[in-house]
Amino acid sequence: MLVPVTIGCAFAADLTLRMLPHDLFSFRAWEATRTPGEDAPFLPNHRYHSDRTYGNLAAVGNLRAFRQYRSVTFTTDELGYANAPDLARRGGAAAIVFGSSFAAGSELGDDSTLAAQLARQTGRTVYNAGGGDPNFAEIRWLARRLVAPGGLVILEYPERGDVPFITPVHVTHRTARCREVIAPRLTGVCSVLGWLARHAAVSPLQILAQRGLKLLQDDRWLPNPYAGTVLQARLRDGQGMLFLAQERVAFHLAAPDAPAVRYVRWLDRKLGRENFRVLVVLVPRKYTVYAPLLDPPDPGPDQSAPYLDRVEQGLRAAGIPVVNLTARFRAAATAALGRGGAGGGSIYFPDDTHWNAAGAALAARDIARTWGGLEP
Amino acid sequence: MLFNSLPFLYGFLPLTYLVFWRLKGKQSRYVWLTLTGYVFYAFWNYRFCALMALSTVVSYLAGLGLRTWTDPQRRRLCLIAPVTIDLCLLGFFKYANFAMDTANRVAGLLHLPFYLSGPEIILPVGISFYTFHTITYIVDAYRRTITPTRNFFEFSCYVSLFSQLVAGPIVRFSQIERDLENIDRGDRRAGWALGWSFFTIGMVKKVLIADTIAAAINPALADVTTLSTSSAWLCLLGYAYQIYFDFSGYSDMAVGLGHLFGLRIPQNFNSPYQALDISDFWRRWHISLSTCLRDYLYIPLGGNRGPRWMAYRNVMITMLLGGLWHGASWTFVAWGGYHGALLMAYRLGRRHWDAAPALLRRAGTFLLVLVGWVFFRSTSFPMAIDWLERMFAWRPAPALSGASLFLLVLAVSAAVAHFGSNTFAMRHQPRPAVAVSLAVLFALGLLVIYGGPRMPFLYFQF
Repeated sequence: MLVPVTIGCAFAADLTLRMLPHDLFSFRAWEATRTPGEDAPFLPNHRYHSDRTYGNLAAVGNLRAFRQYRSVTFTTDELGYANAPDLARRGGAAAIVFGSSFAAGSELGDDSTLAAQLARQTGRTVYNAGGGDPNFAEIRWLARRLVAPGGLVILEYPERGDVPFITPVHVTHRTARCREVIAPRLTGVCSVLGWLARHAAVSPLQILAQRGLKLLQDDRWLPNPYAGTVLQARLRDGQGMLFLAQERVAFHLAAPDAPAVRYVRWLDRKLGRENFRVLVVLVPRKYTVYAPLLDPPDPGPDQSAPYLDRVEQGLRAAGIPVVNLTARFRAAATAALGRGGAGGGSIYFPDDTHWNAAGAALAARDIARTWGGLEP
Repeated sequence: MLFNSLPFLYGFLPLTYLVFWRLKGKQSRYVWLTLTGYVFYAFWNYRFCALMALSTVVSYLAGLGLRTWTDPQRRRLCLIAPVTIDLCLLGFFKYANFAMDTANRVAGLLHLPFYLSGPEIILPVGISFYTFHTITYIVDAYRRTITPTRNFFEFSCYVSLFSQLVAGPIVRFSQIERDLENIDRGDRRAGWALGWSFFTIGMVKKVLIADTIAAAINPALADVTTLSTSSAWLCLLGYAYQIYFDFSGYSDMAVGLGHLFGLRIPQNFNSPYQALDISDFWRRWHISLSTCLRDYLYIPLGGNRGPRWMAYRNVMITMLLGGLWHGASWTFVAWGGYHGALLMAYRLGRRHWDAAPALLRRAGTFLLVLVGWVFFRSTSFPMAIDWLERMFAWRPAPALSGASLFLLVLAVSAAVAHFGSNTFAMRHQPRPAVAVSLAVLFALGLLVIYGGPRMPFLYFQF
């Protein structure tokens, strides 16, 4: 009888734990607050705080020794974006930032996101709409609602070789589809269904069991099968740095730049008709920045021009303002060599794929300068 | 769906069990078990349910013919037609790509100007097992060993019984016929303790032993050219215990599930690593397959009758085809051939071998079986040759690094496999200490299922 009872207890424990907030079981804000498939990228009106978050690379590669614990507070507004709670209500922002996890501020506190630092440097209101994969309809809806006419739409484009954002076809998200099916005004029901779906999809028991097993997969008790996904390297000054193994592979591949340029030109035209200006920010991968600084250095592919440089040229030729952070970041990373410490002076987290507060500040400075140049 | 998966443990098994015992009639239980068998199968790929249904209908109709007709010609037709259809299905889905690939390689070697190509054919899970179920049924009916059933759902329930559907054991109709006939008279409580005991032991074997070993050796075997001599031997030892605990674990779970539904599924493993000679090994390893090969292939080929060379030929043909049954690859054929050669050598030198002390014979048999696993595990001949070369040409380097738990599990596995009693020989009495230990091990296994990657049973691919 004990074995079936064990199965029953495990099932009950699994169901119960699924109802608890994900914050309790997540190692960082991204996992705790993400809402894949729903209208907003993050849980609306949510505040996540942890004194022990660490980078995604240390987590993905199961490399406990590389973890660098940080204290992070991540707040979202009523629309489910990483902003101060009242920002969405106020509206009238001078600029809005769309983009990836870089723009959203993965691993950064509320004050260190790109939008927050840009706002501080320019003294204007900047709305952070990063973290989603918005289509044109959503970009337009958010810009109309939150940005003053003639305002700036900043498109942060991380180096990834595919078209930024998803194709401009209308994508029906879960809640929207739910509203269509049940009744337009039953948003509350759809929210509950969304909550249930989100909690049904994540099993904290599974997370805890995985963590337990990963403790054993430490290359002492058992081989670590995850280590291969992460590249452990050293910079010229001896500082240890983790990279996604895929980034190194992608670094040596020649990706076509035309689709990205074509898409941004199309988006620029559409937003221009809505009386918004567009500024594109090209963010290099961590490996692209640090490859020449590795010990031994990785000279990179034998190409006429790196991918982001080609995208930049294409956009400039089309008259679209663009900030390419590659050279700037490489220079900053080179200058930081020798300052050592736990990521001291670096612009990316040593245990994460993303930029740190210093990297975001550097990007904000360049964007602010270009933005200033766009003013009449 | 896997036995070691959460949907099975939380949904499929409780629902199937509760409804089964709620139903009272024989027919309704047959229908329910048939239905659940198809649902179980559909979790992998629902499209291939039609294939199983076709094999079932053809064999059922042939069985009816064999039951009705006494005319030898008609009876022969009822034998040949369904067996041909089954073998054609098996041949097409399992061996067509292999045949094309082999033909292309031969053509390349001989510089012949042709190249065969076709679509990549998906191997339906369990096809080797359920076609063997239907073939043995037809042949037994033809031989009048069994009386074919008139009840379609009794037969379809036998073919699609979820506990043995995808990885055996290959249960013959005669072995389960009585339990199927009395399916409505079973006592729910009779098989409860025994069923869970078997199921839990099987789960522990699979999840805690076989999968832990796999986690340590699979990364090392990804590139055998980097192995040191000691690592090569450790990986081989690991694989020998992995495949034993994986497959015998699955068989134990199948037997346990059978007991839960009042069906007695026969023993498939009888401590094979305690065998005293290679012939003894084959009486203990995958018993349901080896007895099938004996009764439906070796004996019809002539068995031991006739001159000695014919008996050897029959042994070799049986073992080569047995190897090929395991997978469409020449490495499996080589594995079968290796065992065929061992069986012939044993027959030749039997007197000398049997005169040796039992411990030496056991160790010798295990060593011979161990070397054979190189071909079974290797995905190609170059891999097998590299592995053997690493084993027998000294390459000093540390043994598998970062695998202390693996060594611990290996030691436990060795102790159980060589000196412990197998699940059928154990006393499954519901003593509190045993029950608590099993429950704790089961809970540990559940946690591993939650936290680990999905690990299918090795024999699913066959």
